[in-house]
Amino acid sequence: MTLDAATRWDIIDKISKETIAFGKYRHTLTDAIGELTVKPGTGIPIAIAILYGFWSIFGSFAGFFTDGFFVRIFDEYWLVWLQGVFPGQGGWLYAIMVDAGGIQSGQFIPSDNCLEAFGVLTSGIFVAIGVVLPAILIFYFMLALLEDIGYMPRLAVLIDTLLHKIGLHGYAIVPTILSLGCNVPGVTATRILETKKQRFIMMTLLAIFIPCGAQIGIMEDVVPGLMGWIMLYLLIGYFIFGFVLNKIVPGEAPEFLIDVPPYRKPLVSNIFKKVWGRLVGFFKVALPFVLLGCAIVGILYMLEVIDWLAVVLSPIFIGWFGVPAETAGPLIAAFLRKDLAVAQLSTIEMTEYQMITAVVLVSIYFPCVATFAMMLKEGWKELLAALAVLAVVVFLYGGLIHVIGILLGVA
Amino acid sequence: MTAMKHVLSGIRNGNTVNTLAREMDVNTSTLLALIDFLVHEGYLEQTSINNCTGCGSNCHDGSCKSETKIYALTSKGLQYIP
Repeated sequence: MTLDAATRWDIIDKISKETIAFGKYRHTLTDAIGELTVKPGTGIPIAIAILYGFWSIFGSFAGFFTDGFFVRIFDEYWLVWLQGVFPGQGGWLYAIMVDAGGIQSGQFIPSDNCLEAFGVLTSGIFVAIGVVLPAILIFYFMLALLEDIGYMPRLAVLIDTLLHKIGLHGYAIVPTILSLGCNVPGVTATRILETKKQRFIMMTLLAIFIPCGAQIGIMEDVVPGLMGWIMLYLLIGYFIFGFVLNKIVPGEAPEFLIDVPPYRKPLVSNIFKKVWGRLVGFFKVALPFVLLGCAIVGILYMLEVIDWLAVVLSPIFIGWFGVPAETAGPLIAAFLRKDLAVAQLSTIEMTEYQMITAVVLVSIYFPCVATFAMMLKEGWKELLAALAVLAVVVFLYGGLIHVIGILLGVA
Repeated sequence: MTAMKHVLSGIRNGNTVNTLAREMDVNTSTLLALIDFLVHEGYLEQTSINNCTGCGSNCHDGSCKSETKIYALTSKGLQYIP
């Protein structure tokens, strides 16, 4: 006689119930505290409070060090010193390395701050050290703290149902949050997702809708009052296009069960190690691209390539996206350096809504070169598909934001 | 419903091991043993995040590894539950 699998399991279950003494579940105080952060009724308000605290500390810390120390050091000492010692003022090498400046009546006008100098040694180093370093230092510290306390897995469980709507599961919150520091480790972290479909959706959403620490840092610095609106548009886009991708991308998005470790007192050495590792990783992988990006943007501006592209593409920027023609240059340069592009946008005169649209466009535009390289490592087919999605999303979402602005009477 | 079906169905609801143990009124360790068995038999797949590739910490020696384990339903597991 041959029994089918279900019958065999029923017999096994019956035998095990007769022969094994199953212990009763004991609900401890630690379990109760843990559950408060997992059940939606209590977990969502706690998550909002924690993320608000995270954001506040991030903004205060990064702003304090960037505005309080680095802006002064770089603008008053570093830039002035470099302008004095670097030879060939007004020449092409000087423009690329130190200060592109401005020309008025044939006279070279030196920049008075590092952000607008657009040189590798000025803007490049200032963005990397003065803006990005404090931002990602505090970001990775807070993230390591939440991970080591044991909150991240609980956040994953809490957000699981919502992320299933876009074909992901709760643990997709890890690459998402990691990407807010730098997209490069975020793309690497998509490997924790099980299926190709999930990894593709995650990688595409990260590349499009998640601004990195460098960009957030610079946005905090130059458009602090508009941050809420910009992040809201990105968040809405993340879910809308995630939902669409889930419907059109073939493949599975399996359900999961998570074995959450108990809440623990974090180890200082472990947090230090994580922060240090991530900082070193950022500076090794992303910093060369920051400096290289500065140099290439400088060269493209000097060769008037960006100006030419700006003229060619300006009908799309003005007519479809509703932003001034001058933003075409920074938006094109955003492929190389999104943070510098935001800095460039801040110098252009436009309405608040146009600024929101332009910064959102910079964010959802091509991923930065470092992320691009990392996505290529994950597979060229996935990269090409992600770029195709990206092109469609930029066009549609950029136009949608413009339409919303028209309907609200602010565009 | 067998304990096995209960576990596999519970996964569909996006649970933690603790919540599921409570629902089934068994010790967490008992449930973990059952889960290990289901992984061994191919009904579940364990996706550990305690490896360096998906971490982003760059410690590269696994010393900062997470203890969190994720169990996902396999197609065999999906077929077994209604």
